[in-house]
Amino acid sequence: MSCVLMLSVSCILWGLGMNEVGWLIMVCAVALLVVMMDCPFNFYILKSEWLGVDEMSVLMVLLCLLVSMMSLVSSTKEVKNGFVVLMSGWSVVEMVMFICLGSVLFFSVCSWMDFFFFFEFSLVPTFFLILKWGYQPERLQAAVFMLLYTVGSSLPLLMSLVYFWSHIKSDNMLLSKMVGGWKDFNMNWPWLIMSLSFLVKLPVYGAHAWLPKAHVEAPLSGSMLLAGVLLKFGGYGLIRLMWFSEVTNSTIVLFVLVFSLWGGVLSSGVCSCQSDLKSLIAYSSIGHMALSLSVLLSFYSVGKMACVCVLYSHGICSPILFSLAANSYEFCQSRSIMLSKGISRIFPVISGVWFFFCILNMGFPPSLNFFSEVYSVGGLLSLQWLLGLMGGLMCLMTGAYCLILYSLVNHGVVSSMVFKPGLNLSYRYLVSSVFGGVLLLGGTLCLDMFFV
Amino acid sequence: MSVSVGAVALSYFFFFLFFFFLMLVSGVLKGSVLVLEWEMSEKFFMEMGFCMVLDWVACMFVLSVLFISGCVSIFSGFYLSHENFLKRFFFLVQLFVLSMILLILFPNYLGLMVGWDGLGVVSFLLVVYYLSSNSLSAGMITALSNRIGDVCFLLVIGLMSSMLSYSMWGVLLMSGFFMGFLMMLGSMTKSAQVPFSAWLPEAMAAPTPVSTLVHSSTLVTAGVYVVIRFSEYLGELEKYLLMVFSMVTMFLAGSSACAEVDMKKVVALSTLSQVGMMMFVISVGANTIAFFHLLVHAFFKALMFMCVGGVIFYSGSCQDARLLGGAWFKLPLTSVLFLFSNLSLMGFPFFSGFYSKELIVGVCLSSNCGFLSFILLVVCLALTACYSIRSIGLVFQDMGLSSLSFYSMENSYYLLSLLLMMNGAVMMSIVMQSLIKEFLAVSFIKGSLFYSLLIMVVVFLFNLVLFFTVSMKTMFLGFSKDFFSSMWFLSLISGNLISVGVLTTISKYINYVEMGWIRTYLWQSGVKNMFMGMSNKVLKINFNMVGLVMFYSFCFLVMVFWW
Repeated sequence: MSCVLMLSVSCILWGLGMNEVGWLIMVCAVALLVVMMDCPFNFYILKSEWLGVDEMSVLMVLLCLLVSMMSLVSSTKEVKNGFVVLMSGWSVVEMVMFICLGSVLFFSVCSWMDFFFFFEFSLVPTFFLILKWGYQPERLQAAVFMLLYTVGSSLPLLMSLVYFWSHIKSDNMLLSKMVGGWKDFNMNWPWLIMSLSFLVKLPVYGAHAWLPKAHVEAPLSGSMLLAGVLLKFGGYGLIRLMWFSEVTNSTIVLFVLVFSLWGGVLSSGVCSCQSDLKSLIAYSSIGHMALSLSVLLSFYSVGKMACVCVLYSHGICSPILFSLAANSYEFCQSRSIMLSKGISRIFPVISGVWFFFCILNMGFPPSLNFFSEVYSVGGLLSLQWLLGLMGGLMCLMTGAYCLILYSLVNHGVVSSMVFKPGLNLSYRYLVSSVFGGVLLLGGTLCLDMFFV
Repeated sequence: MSVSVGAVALSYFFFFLFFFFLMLVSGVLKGSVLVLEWEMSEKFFMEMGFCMVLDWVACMFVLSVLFISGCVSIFSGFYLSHENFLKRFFFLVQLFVLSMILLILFPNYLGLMVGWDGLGVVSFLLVVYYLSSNSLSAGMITALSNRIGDVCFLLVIGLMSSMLSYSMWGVLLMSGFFMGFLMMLGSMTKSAQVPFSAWLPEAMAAPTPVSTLVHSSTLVTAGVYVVIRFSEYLGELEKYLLMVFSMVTMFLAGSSACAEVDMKKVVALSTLSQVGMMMFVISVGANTIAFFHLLVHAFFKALMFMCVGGVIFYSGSCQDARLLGGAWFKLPLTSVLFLFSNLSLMGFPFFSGFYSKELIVGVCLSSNCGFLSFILLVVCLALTACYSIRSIGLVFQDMGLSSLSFYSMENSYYLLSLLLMMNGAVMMSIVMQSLIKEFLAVSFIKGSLFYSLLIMVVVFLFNLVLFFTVSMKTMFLGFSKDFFSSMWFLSLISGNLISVGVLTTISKYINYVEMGWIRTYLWQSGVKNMFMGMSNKVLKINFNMVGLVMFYSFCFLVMVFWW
């Protein structure tokens, strides 16, 4: 409660224009949230009629707040310029705050209907963000696809939730689980149709085509929020749905597991041959999410822990990679790999940060990414040796494209078309990168907090 | 520049002295071990923590790594003296040494992976230090071969997670079947055994100080060290496989080094054959002798790289041995030390390499490793002699093609580093044997005069045969030169064939499936056309009078009879 109070105070202060004080209070709110994480493991507590708390949901709320902070800090182009683009009075900051609000509430509510509402709610500010502040004319199609396919595939979810609401007579997650859940039904096929929405959001390989388009066409803060937070909606929803729907480890679940794992391998392979920096990072998101989904569907407890860990570590690492890509966009005005290369001679510190986050992305110990990858592959290996081998193959290809990404940006000589003397880059990107790096490396020290 | 060089080297030697102190004074030498463990998480049932072990093995290895890196920092003050970004280079070298020390001190898979991954990634950065396309391709094959080893180790951790302990003593508690095999496979990628050998000669695109530190003593020996530490996980089958692979590696490296023209690549291939020998000894079962050979080899190989580096520097960065020569007249100290390190490599009596090689041959004779493998071992020793003499000849003889200009050799960094490393070629083995009693293994071979002379005679005759074969010019010779100089075609297969195949397949896949089926059919045209077509048809019904009537009566019937 006090956390919410502090957040609203910081928002009011921003509105009044006292920016630094607002940031300070927001950081204190985040710290308070971290302190609050004394929830016992494997319990779900209803804090009020609207909010329910579980260790995983606190972790996800923390992720939301952190990613929103990082995305606002890094979007110098939209915020710090003299000319601020407004859409009927809202600027980028307010849109990001709307998405953040929607996400925080999504991860905290404890009734299924509110869950669904906030699931779809955060799509609206994202849609406007892509449409108004994106850079290329392809953003129209990208935004329409994102909205249409995500909402379209969640219609079966809505129908099933309404049907089960009328059957169990209560909406509350905990209460309906205690009453008995849905054990009267054979949940294999209904589970698949209900989770179709989360699978498209996650995204599973076949339904993933909205993701590269949306990531590439969105502005920086939109990309960061999409990669950092909105993809995690799918994972969180799947974990809640599995808990609630009492689905067993049947062939349907194994089908989705194998499909997503193999899709992850394919999309990591596709990553190696991209010619657009942001598209490369977008396909890497698909690979990581596929790994987390497949180890979740193995129904081991280490599977759920590794899934949450992958969601969290990817949610911090990927936005920073996007901000670094926007960095290189700023100095060469193009996302193509042909033009943005050779920065290790001009900007050595930025080059070092690129290297650091590329190897973090591929799972460099002793960071959080490493532990999430290890326990994902380990969980898959415990299920079936062939799945573990495919997980290992995905780690190999992840290493390959991360090194390709690093060498594409940093190696070689800068093309003389773009190198102008007097080029300067804002240090804001470095600040958010350092913040994220500290989180990811220091997460090892308190591993219990992230292995939920 | 001198300040940074001096500071870095001094810090290395300080830590060297620290560990030396630890060894001699605090009784590590007498068998005491320091174990520190840091538990990280309690969510799982097993000990998930970083466990540091400081016993005599770790201490000796850390000592030699620190000494060699101190000398290499002084050497790089000479070799890279014209370099703008020297501080960045030193930073990378220090990161590398830090990863190596983490690997040595933490024989626990969770901690070991920090050093292991760090080694792979930092060596990638060091190989691509000169930002050219040649070094980029070398760096990619280095990093990807190391990444295969990382994946094997990830699978080992996954297997160990159900076996209650991640450390080297986990065999006492529980151990599974595939763990030894995967661990061996991972170490084989790092130590460049067959079939992962192609990266080591390619990695010579790095600056020579990097090759001295990385590719002679630390990176390739990291795999051997892991196998030594975790050698209790290896069963009979894995030991046989290791013997076969290491034997093939020794033979491959020895034969390819006889046909290679780049000086640094010759030294790299000689490193490869010695690492193969270390793995061979482990597969026979004598871990201590392998460790002894590891340490001794590190010293004289580093010296050899430094001498070659000096020759390359003074000939204006020319690495091709067909254009070198005449170092005997122009660089006396370098040539003497190169001669000493090569003699040590060959196992010339009472040099450093003699003791370890004698122990290796002794343990192979007295174990049950088979007659054919012993014959192959002797053939590999003969090949070692062959390429060592060849490289000495290439560097020393004045062919009239020499590109060594008149430089003064009085660069103090160079001389200092050479003098410091000098004792490695000559004295290190005796020093180690006198300090550490485990290295004094004695194997009694009941020998008559025939058997004790047999090896020498075989080596001599083999080299004679090779000499006569090579000096004749036949068509067979043309084919065999291609075969040997591309490492039995391994470098072509590992590099070009695989990468071109994979990338073309992926690009075709992207074109047909990703852009074709998924993007176009599912998302753009296909599904949209289907739905639009259907809704158009329904709309068309409504514009026709008969259709309108039928549509509404159909709806009426449905509503009446379903409700």
